[in-house]
Amino acid sequence: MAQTRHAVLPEQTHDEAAREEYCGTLRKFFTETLWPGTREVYAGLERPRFEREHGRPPMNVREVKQAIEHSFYYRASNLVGRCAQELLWDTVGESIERQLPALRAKAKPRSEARGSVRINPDLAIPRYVDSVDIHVMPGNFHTERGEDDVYAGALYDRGVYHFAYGGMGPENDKLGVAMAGWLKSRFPDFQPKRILDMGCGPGFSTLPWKQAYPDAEVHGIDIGAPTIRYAHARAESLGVPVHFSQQDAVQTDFADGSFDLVTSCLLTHEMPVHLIRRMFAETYRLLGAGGMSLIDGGAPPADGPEEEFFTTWFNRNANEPFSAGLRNLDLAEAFATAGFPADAFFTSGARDAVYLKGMGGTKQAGGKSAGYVGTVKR
Amino acid sequence: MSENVARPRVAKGPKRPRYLRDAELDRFMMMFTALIGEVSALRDRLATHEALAAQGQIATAEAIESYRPSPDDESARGIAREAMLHRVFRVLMEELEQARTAGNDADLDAVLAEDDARSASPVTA
Repeated sequence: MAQTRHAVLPEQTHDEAAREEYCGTLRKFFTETLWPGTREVYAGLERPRFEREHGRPPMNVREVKQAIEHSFYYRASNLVGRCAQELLWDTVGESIERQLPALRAKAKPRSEARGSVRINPDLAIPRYVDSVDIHVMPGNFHTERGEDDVYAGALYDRGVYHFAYGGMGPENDKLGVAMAGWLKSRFPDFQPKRILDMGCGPGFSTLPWKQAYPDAEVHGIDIGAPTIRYAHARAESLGVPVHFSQQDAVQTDFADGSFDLVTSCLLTHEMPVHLIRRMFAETYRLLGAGGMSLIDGGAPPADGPEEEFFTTWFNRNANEPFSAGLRNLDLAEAFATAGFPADAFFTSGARDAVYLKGMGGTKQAGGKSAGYVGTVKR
Repeated sequence: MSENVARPRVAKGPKRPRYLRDAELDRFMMMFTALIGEVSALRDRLATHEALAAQGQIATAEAIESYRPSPDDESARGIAREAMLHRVFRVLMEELEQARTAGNDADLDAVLAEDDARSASPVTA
């Protein structure tokens, strides 16, 4: 199943396509074979070894790590996972760099556009965004590589497709489609007229909201200008009118009460907790009475130190240093602190993870996502 | 015996000798996984040559660039890629195989010790 072609999707030569496919296969090999095997090596060899040496099982995450790190299988598998992560961006990036001038030209806003795009060259990039390239993606979502740049957006679009070896769907939108579908079925009478998707990236989770609520005005914001330019061109090409703007989710330029639904998908696990709290406060300001906030709940709390260890690979190996903070954050408390009524908090409960983030998300590991979490402003 | 028993891929016996220093291995693996990618891309290019030949075409650079594998071909290439990774990383799978069969094998050291003990004793009928 190939990725859906649109005007700004990078093209590949024969060999570029072959190298990209290899990256996807290497990711699959790591996610479905090597990493699940680390649990077997731990249970069959390394935990028994630890118990023989200490007369007790590992008691905390540090001891689980100490026990499993004795294994060459574990150390080398980890390394292969990291190699795949680095090689993916480098491989896709080489192909995009070759055609970047053409992509920039294709991405320029056109007068016939049904959506819109706003770039804010004065926007301060937060230190946490500039301090770590999330997913080990060089340049992160925001680095500008010249005028009208779209590199980061193109890199993420093509990279995510191969990262999930097609598992996000031809338009990388499976998570967004599932989230919008869940809200519609849970709250069939809720008909938002204005929707904001925070941390929208190339629009994978944004377009599904417009498709689920065709009469709504849908906005997407992201910190990265190259990502926002790309998102606009992509949405226009796919025929889904959305209004994109470069903004920080903790402080936007929208008026009080502008939206009926403020949402985000896979954003909060990439933010420090104190900024998640500010984002919730901004969400409260942006919603009108009866307006709803809906986010993904990240990974569910782990059942003991071994599960904690085996479901946090990305935290340790793929530059997601903030994800542990989200996992330990009481979202009900955080929404209440932001001003939402405590009794308005709701969750979908644990759900099968749609995404192939492995290790806490995959069927192979028996993992679940925490599902969706939300609240309502009264 | 059933013909479906998976062939063993780890030879029992003394441990493999150690060769490289740990500190250098990480970067080596980075280069190694990239090199496998080049081999994989070359294999795909060869598959395209073969597909063009099957259609009676000459594999010029232009013909290769314009060739689009069918979904079945894509699927076959993916399966071949995965099989290649399993072959290349065979050594890595040793511990996994050991974890799955832990405690099931005779211990070589015990066999050798038993042999020594018996060799030192007079042969008895």
